Amino acid sequence: MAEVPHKKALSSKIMTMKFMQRQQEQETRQQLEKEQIRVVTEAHWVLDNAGVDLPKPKFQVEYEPSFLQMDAAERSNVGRVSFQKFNENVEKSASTSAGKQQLDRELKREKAGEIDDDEMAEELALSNKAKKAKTVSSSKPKPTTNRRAPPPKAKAQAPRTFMKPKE
Amino acid sequence: MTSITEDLSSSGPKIVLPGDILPGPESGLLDDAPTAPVIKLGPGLQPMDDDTIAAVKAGVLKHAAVGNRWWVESNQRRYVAATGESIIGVVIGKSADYYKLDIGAAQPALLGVLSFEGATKRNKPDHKVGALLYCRVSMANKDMEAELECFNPTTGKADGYGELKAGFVFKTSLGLARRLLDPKTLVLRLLGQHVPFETAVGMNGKVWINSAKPAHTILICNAVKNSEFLGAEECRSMVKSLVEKL
Repeated sequence: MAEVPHKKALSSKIMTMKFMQRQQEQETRQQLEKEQIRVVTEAHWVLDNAGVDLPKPKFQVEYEPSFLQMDAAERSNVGRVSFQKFNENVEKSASTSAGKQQLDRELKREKAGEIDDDEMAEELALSNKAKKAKTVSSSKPKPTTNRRAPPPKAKAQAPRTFMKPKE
Repeated sequence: MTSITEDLSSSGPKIVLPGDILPGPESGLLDDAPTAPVIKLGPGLQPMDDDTIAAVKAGVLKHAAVGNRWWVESNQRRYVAATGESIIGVVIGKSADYYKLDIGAAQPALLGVLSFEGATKRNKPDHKVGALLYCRVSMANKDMEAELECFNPTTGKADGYGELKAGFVFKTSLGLARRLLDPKTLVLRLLGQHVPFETAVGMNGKVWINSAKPAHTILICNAVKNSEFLGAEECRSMVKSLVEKL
């Protein structure tokens, strides 16, 4: 049976049939998509020196906006105090909080001197490597495909989704 | 921008001005200076674009070896809210959910109505406009009004926070308020030997004093205000002369 060539004009009755409508809708949808991709690709900005690596920062900064943690003299900080038994509750809570702060300071000082088990193992491993003078082959981990993951869903036709520009 | 060239070990405290850059390890001054992996910057220091750290406030540069902390001890009168500080606030407004407190910062702070020890919806403390509250800053950043709470978050108990009844409040500079919190500062201990009183120091520069007689309150207030720039011996003689006049 000879196939009807695509471009020939078909009768209007056939055009009203569902399968022809579907075909037409698909064609218009594809054209719209092509148009969108074209627009997005044209609007896409590319940096010229995208391959240039920025130098790694020499140090990492953490911010502390309050003077509370900044005590060189390592002193306790009790806001509410009372003298000569003017207010017994305040005196009691002042002494307990001073004691607690002292304890916290001692703990912090101890922790600063300690080293974690993992870090210790790393340091030992590094020193061993230096002794044996091995050449360490740096291999990036292969990108693995997750076969258990469900197949990627077909993108919905929502106008809000991000359209990746064609390179 | 000038770089600091004085030797840290010879002249005691290092004075910095806004724009001074912290010297790197080349000058050999500051060990574990900006080449350490993690550096904690306190108030008064900011990192610049070219991997250096510059001072933005005038004051004395201080350093703590534990945690590699650097900061500038500066003084000013306007308070900027920071998380964790204990402050004295005055109630200026009340709404269904929160109190509005004036803490001496650029903007008023909010204190939730339920942010008290043991407060429930049925059992809410009621504070009038003008009441003094000793609270803790629970959240503060430069874009929003600070939020306060009247209990210690680690224990859930009041621990000294709450309403300050009676007494007298006066304003000091922030540096003096921080020094008053230090138990080594003499003036409060000396006064406490002669006069029974209780005090609450807010890091926003407000100090509250309560004592049995108005004469005592005036004495304590004057002594504290005078002690801002006095050394230890001068402080002792100042307190003695004031107490003798009682």
